Amino acid sequence: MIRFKEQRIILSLIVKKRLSLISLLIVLSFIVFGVSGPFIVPYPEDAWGLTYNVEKRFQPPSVEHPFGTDALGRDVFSRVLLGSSFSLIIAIGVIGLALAIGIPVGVVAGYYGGRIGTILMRITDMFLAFPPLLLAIVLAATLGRGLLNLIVALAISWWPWYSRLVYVQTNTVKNMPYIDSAKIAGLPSYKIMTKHVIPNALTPTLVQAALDMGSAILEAAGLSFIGVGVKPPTPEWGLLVSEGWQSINYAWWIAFFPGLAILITVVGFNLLADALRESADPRIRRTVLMRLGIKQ
Amino acid sequence: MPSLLGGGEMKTELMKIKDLKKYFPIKTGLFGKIVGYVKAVDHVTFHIGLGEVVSLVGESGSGKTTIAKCLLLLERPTYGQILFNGYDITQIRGKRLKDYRRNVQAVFQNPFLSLDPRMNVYDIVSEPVQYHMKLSKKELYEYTSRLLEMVGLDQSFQAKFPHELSGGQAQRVAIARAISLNPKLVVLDEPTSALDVSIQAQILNLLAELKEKMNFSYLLITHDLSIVRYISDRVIVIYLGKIMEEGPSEYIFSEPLHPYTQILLSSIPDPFTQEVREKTILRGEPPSPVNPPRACRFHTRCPYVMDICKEEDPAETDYRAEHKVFCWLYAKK
Repeated sequence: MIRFKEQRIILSLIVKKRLSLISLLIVLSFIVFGVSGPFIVPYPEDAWGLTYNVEKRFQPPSVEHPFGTDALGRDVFSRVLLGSSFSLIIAIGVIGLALAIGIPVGVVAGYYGGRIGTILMRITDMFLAFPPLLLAIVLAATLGRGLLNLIVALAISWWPWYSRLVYVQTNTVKNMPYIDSAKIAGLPSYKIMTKHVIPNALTPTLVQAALDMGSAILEAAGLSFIGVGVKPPTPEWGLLVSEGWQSINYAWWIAFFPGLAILITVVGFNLLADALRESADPRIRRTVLMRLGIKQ
Repeated sequence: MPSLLGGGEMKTELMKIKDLKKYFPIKTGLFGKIVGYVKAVDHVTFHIGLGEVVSLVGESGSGKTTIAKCLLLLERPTYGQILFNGYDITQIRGKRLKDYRRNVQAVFQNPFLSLDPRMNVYDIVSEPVQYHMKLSKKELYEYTSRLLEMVGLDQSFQAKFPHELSGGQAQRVAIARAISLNPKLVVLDEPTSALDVSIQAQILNLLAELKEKMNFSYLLITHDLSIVRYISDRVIVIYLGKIMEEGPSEYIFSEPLHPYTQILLSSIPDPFTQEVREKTILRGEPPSPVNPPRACRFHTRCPYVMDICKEEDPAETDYRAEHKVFCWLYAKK
């Protein structure tokens, strides 16, 4: 359990280290752009891909179009900006759905153990046996293109990791004396699981889930790039890159800017993940604190 | 020394443990082949009277906590019966189980482990009440406040979390939770051994006081004999899963019969005697319960060991009323 004091130390550590601070700013601005994207895009119709303007196609970056225009004359900046909203939806959807499947499976398997636990964990292992990206590609291709299908396909290849993590934590928590106290109080199993096991077993999984956001965005972009993700003209970053790469020789900006957006966001998430992991581990934290000259 | 809680008159039987056995299988290999059993509790029979304080005394590994876990139905016994108010509870489920839970509660050794770290004091204490009694929000609040008051904690503690409490305060919260349903039996599993010596006395006084008020029975499980003398009516000495001696507190302390009891008692420091007592020191570790000694389990460490001790299990000898011993030294010829 992370105590309040610890949370403050972790936060101050992130703020004091320059790279961690930058990553925090990247992630925060990604979330801000993602939420406000649909309301602040300069050319909403271009962004949603509702119109095209052949006269303005392949214009290089200018003041009017900071990221240039694409093969159909649409403003790339607007499309990249709205793309952050889609990436945010995908990241939250995938991780949320994966947690919604993974947590119950892990908790039930861990709490009951025995035959039920074995069956549930063997099913989990079956999913883990596939290379995750390959499983997601096959599922996405089978389900067909679309935002919801993309989220479902990724979540199905994702939940076994959370279920494993929750399972291990549940095994530790269920042997704690306060679980015995709950049993003696006469609470039924489902109440013990929801009121005592889950709150005490979830922290590592939630941290992991927050850290996985970057990977979810990257994988979604990958699927869209190879054509099994969202439907055009949705301004999803992976799809934008795939639309622009054929003209990369004479209109580099079409693929470059969405690619840059993916790069910055994913690197931002991963750096923040490293910073969190570093500051949450007391042993590493001590050396970092000493290097920075902070007294604990 | 007479017990602080008085008593001594015949009491009605609340709980009867008959021939209780708990064996834990030892599994190895991929398919969990059973290669042996840990005989944690082996043919234990005793009873707890209504309003009585019974102590289970023994070294660590003697099976005393396993007995408690069987009574609390955290473990289902391998064999034997546990009769509560006359009916066997070892296989109950559903409504009868819920009813039993309400009547039998427990306080554990370390309150910081037995209280959920994510719940505040109010939620911890009111949780069993909420589940067993249908009270309105206001009634629940009043009930919970009264419980906390009974264990000596004021309003300001309600919003605190366990890690903000001292050991003594946390144990008081655990006690409030245990008595919240007005149980008939409270199992005290080493209730003071995780606390400071100064706090131990406070908690013991509180437990004695609560018993006066609410008249429940205690099953006290401990290795600390000084507590036992102070609080209990009857003492059961247990070694490697078997009862060695059982009797009223006064007799056990003034006239211990079994060599094992004598050795245990000689290890209590007594601040009131000047004379240097003769100390018998128990040598060696207790044998493993996987493969306990044949016949009398104590014969490998007993200073008075005889040939018969290695061959036959000693039968129960009634030395006097309610004072039983399992030892060949006292067997009637």
